[in-house]
Amino acid sequence: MYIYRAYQFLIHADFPIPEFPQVNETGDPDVVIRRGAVPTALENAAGKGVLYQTTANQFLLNMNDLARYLVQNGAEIVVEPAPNSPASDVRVFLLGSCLGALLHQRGILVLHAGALYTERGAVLFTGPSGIGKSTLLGELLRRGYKMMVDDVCGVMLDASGRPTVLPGYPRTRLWSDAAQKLEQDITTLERTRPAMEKYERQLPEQYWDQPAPLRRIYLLNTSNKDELFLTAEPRMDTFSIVLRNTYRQQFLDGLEMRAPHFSLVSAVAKQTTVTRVTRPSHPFRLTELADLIEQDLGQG
Amino acid sequence: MGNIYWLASYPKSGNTWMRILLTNYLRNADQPADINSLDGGPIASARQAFDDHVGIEASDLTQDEIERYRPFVYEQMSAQAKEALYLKVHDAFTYTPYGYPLISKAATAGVIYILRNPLDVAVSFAHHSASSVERMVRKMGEADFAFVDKPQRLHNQLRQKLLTWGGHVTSWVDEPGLRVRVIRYEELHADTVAAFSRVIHFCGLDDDPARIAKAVQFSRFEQAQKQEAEHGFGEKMPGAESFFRKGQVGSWRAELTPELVEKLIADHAPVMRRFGYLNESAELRY
Repeated sequence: MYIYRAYQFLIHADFPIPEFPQVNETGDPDVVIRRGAVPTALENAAGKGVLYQTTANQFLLNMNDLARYLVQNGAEIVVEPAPNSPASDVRVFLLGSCLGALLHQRGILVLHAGALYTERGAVLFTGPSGIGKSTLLGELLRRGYKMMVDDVCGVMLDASGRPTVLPGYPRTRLWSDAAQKLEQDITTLERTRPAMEKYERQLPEQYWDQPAPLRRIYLLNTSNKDELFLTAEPRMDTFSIVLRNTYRQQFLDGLEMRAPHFSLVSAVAKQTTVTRVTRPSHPFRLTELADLIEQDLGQG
Repeated sequence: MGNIYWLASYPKSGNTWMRILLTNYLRNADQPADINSLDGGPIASARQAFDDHVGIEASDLTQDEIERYRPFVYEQMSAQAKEALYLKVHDAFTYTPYGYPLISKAATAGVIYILRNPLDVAVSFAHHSASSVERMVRKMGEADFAFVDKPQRLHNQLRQKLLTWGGHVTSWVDEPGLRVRVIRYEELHADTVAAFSRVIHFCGLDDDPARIAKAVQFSRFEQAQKQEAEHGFGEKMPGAESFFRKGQVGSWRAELTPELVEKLIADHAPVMRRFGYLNESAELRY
């Protein structure tokens, strides 16, 4: 058995998940990840997408000839890989939608964001896929910052009701063009999936493994003009930005988590600020962008 | 029958103009629609819509896997739609590696196929892509030409196989079992009201002449140009000077060399003849 700690959960897995930090801890697991039989469909599914189905306490992902996954009660993920599926392929969807569904089931706010640790709290980078979150995170990591998570970011309210960012696990993913921008040698990195130009970077030495108060959210977007600037988002828009950047929010209705999610978003939005980061879609202007963020962080 | 009307075209053939017309018609407002919030989207190849409907991210899939699931995204969009959806698409009508039409027929109510003289397309395409017209003419003749074909980076759109210009046209108009209405850019330009009325009729919408006339008036080229000059247009490519550039018929005459004209005709003569861009004596019209 493999024992890990990620998102603060003690995780027992019956197959290796090298992305998660391994620990020598005893005690009952919060989450069990195991191989087993998974049905092709759920009975009485309340929510449905092309590849997923949901009920109040179950989430099923059917990746057809790759694997099937069943996430239950926020406590268990059963995986049935298809014969000959590469282990890395199977983990991609486990660590993506399945983990996201598990966090939703537990009532954690899941944002599509990368998180950096700073002394004054966690700083989130959010925005749609392909907007450059991991690339910017990569550049800031190169400058010595510590990461808390890349991509699937959990936020909870602490005992006094303040938004707190959970440490996820120390892995980032880079497309080959992003790796090039970061002068990262890809020959030493594993591919996310054998057939893709996307690479896995493990950064245990730059991992902040404790929860941290949410300090600020940067919302990334691009423009077709050559301009680079930061703007404070109006307070009244914070709620809709947090809502819109919720990871896999289409799962919420079927999981019957829409109402608690709504109040969580509301509580978080009241206690955070959003800064919009606009950069040209081309060229990326990564160095200047990271300078701008650093300068902004220095100002408070 | 599904709920989606596809606004299908090769790039730079008048698709955005059609979206502006439709938006102005559907909203039936008392001022022109904002070009930065048009109906007719998201484009069929938008990454975000795929991710939302599938429940995993296209960025974790290979191009073939993405194409495998795309038809089901449209089926889901169609099933969830309470009224007709109008969606822009630049993909050619192709079949996935699993033998299923990429643009699901079950999701489709009809296809408005917008067609434009390939000589004018080449000129417009070059300006749009900030590329040479020679290159675009060559690309228009390549059967494996596709948008977003580079898997080294994440793009906000998915791969779109375009085929050759002529291949794109026939892929849609000759596909059995599709209800297609062809609208030529040149007809739209010559008599917008008449051409757009045919679209409205095809989609089973109310063909009230006053409503159509107002939509046409609000969708004039100068109006789009003015809005772009004032506020920019999100669909402009970063290298291009503007999106709404000339909107003319026959601007190729000033910009294409005889060699390029010859190459375009050599590559696309049968389809050009079929749709009236070449007459029976092989002379160019428009």
